Amino acid sequence: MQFKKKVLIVNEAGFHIRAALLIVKESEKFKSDIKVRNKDIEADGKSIMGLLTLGAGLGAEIEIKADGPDAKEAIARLSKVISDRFGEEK
Amino acid sequence: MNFITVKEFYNDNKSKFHMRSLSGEEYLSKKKIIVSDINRPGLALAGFFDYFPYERIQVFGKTEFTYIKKLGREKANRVLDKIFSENICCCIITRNLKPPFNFLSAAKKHKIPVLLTSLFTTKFISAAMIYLEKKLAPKITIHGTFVDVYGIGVLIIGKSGIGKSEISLELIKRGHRLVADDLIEVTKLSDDALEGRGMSIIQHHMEIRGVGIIDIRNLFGVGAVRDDQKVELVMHLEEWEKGKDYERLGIEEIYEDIIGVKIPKIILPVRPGRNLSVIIEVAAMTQRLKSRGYNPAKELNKNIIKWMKKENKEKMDVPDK
Repeated sequence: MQFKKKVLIVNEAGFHIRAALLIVKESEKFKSDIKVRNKDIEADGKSIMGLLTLGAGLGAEIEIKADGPDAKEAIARLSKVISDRFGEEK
Repeated sequence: MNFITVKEFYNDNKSKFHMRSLSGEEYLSKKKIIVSDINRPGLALAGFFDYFPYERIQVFGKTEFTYIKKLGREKANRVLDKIFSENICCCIITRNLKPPFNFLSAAKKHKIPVLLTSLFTTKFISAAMIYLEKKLAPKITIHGTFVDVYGIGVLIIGKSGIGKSEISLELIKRGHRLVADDLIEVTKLSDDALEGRGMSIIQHHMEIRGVGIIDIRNLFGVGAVRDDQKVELVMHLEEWEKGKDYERLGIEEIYEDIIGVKIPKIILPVRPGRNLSVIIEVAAMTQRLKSRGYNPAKELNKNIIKWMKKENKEKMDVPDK
């Protein structure tokens, strides 16, 4: 199964280290292959360095793709983490 | 198709070419450069517009401006208006020359950005072409670690968690240089050459599980890193599968196709207790020999055949005596 969704980065600091780590930790809970894309760079959702390379700041529109048995759940979970500002206040 | 905006071209080269914008700065981000060729519109100025390469950057130097001035105001304004109406991406004036007659107003009318450089025309053209060739070349990003081992660019790929970063760290400790970890931008320089580089400010950082994020440049010094390197060898790490046929001789070469360029590839089985960094060092050195026409397995085979022939001959020679 393959799913994808576009999500807007809404926290002020964007994909900084703690945010990337949160994505990696959530991604690792799923069996599916997870990719995160910002413009023309695509990173592995399970790699911190990859996610940091994206340089996705406030206002960036990123695309999450999941491929595998739990793809739908993975997309739902990850997009929620991002729209919840990674639990950050602003 | 690959392209860059004129704005990107301008920002990247502003200081290198001593460039500044004369007019139409608001159109810089809308105009696209799609080819690396550059045109001096001599024939167009003379009125010949068949095959006019409007997609190229148009360069006006001393010759062009002298000719325009010779045309006289009326003729010149007419032909300039025609050139700018061709939807060209941008105009560049060299040697800090002052544009004659209605040059700037014609450019403005047709919404064409005009840039000014202090470089001489030929110098500008060659420098701009080198920049554009690189920028417009086909590109992909590859997940892996890219290390310079004895001057050979070794791209280490394999599943996440197989130990690419750990092996690279050991290579760095042994004096080799890190180019990039995790996401590598690979550019096709020509039909047989690829260049790999990191992609952002995190280029020389690595994540080592259990330790965290480390900064290779600060830890090992500036000699342990480099910004880019040609990709000459692909090391594919995979878990050791019992019964799988791994390369034993190195006579047959296998290749990895990366954007149409064939790069020699080695599939390296990972097993506890195998010192992979030494194996990668040896593979890189062997690759250097091979690229200089020496294949150790083939040479050995030649010598064995020669030796066997000699032995046989000696044996057969004995009864004659």
